[in-house]
Amino acid sequence: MEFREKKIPYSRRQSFKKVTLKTVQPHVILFAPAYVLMKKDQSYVGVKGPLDFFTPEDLNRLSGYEFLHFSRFIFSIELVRDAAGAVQNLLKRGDIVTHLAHAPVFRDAALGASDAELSSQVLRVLTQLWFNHPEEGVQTEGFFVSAFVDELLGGLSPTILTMIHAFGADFLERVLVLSSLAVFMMIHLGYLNLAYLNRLRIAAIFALLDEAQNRTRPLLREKSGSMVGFGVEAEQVFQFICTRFEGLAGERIRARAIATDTDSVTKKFSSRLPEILNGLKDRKSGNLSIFGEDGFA
Amino acid sequence: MENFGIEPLKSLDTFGVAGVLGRRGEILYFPIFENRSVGRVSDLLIAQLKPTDLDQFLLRDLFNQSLQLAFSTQSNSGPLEEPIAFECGVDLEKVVFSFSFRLGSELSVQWDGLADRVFKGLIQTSFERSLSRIHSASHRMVFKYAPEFQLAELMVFIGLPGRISSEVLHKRMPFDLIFLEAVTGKKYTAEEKYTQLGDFNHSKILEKTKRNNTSPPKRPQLKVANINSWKWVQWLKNQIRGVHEPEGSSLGKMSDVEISSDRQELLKQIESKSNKILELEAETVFLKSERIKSPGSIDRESSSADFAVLKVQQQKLVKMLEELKTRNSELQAELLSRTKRGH
Repeated sequence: MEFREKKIPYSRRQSFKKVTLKTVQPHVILFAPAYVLMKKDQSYVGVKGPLDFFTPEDLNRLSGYEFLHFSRFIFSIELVRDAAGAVQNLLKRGDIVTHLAHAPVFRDAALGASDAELSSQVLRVLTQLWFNHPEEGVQTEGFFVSAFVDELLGGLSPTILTMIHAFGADFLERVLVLSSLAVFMMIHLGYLNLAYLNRLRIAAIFALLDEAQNRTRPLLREKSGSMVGFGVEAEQVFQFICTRFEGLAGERIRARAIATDTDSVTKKFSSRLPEILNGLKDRKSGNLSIFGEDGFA
Repeated sequence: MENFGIEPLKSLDTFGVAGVLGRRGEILYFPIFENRSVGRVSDLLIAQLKPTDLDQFLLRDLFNQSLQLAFSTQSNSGPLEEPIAFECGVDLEKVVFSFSFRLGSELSVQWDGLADRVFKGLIQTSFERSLSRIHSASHRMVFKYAPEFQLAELMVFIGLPGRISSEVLHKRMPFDLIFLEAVTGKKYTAEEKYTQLGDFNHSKILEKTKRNNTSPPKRPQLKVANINSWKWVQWLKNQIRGVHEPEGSSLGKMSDVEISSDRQELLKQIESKSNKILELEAETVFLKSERIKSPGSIDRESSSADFAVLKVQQQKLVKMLEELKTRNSELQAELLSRTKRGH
């Protein structure tokens, strides 16, 4: 995607995080603009925008440089990554079961949180991605939702990324944002199974690819072409996301706008807003945005 | 199809209980992936339905039997690939449980005459037997099926005594089987109030004894931090100062004044990082101890969520400290070689 500063003078070198080029992996979505240092010009020149990825050819072309430099915006992503890591930890936690020596049939178990309790804990972590605008209410940006889902579910395969990228960088942005939004909303509804969420993300991506290829309405489908596999609400959520949002990284996802719909899934989403607002009350960190002085857009 | 009570059933051609609830309808919802914590889910549900004065054993029985039927069509015991969407609707005259799920392709259902067989008890399969049991125990049962999507919804109605005439409650109602063409359909005016089961304060609901002291717990001081971590930080600092070098070491003992600028910088860094890590550990120990001591005194959900975030942050700091440790070893080695060269 496009980013604001394509060229930055060397005097602002403090604003960058340096990464050895050899350690940069191809086909990994970037969440901050990437620059190389042009020693001759004494300036940093942007080589890749956020929500894009390096191909092996790209990296080969840049092999003359020792380092890639990421704008300091990358530190904002740390918070999102922490939130995704925390949700992963919560979802991977299960019951701890040990065998009793004197009664081998029975087992001593420390029961983990129930799914309902987990849902509440996860929602509390998710509040880190939301912020409360004094006039527009609770909102977030598509970019951070994409970063969160990418970290939570892991990167997409090179094959899928290449397929999407064939339709252009804007389409890649749209697919990443819309598929992530579908997953994000399902998490809010209490769908907390990582394998399920991953399947849903892939199905949403293929539905959007289908739409681009055949100009048909995007529908969730399994690889086999069957529409089963996601339950009653996933399709409703996906349709809502596709009709309501454009899929832009800077798009504001306003909870109030979602809540105006009378569909059962949006009403369910709205039902969680009081808990989100509650979590936002004691938040210490600042608001996440790709705009403004700390952003890149 | 006949109404159930005075309130009209607004719609039966969509999934979810919103279509059958009357005025002031409220809906609890929760997706279920596995049977692991179903007991606690039903505990919470029954606790929420206590004001209805319905027979709690009946509610549990209907919940468990319906859930078992929904599970058995997809999996015998393991987690489901596709969750069961559970809703519990309550209005002025009834409670309705709804379980939306996929009918596994391996399940063979003889749809012709199914409603009649279940009503008359002339069952042929275990699926029909389950339906028949639920039908007998409930006041009304509706089964919807969308063949194109292989999605089904089992709706179980329980009338509130005194609100629905005993004539209706005791009359054996027919089993309604409805085929749907689409899964999503009409939208309703925003009357029903939805609540996710996870949003209740579980510890408050399930806690039997009331606590007298409701004041918030005091925050701990750093002294409750893990003593091993503290010791380790001290050891690391001493290593850099060279205080605990073994006898005969070429470095010998050094006072702070004699420490090189490199080492002083390292000490400063360790000081700041270690304070942070000790703070985090204090927080962690506090959260842990509060959970063990008095499960009802703080919000369990929030502390667990905070704990998860803290854990991630703590892992990062430990990593940073490890890096500093490595850097310290490198500096020591360098200093040692310089000293030897000097000799």
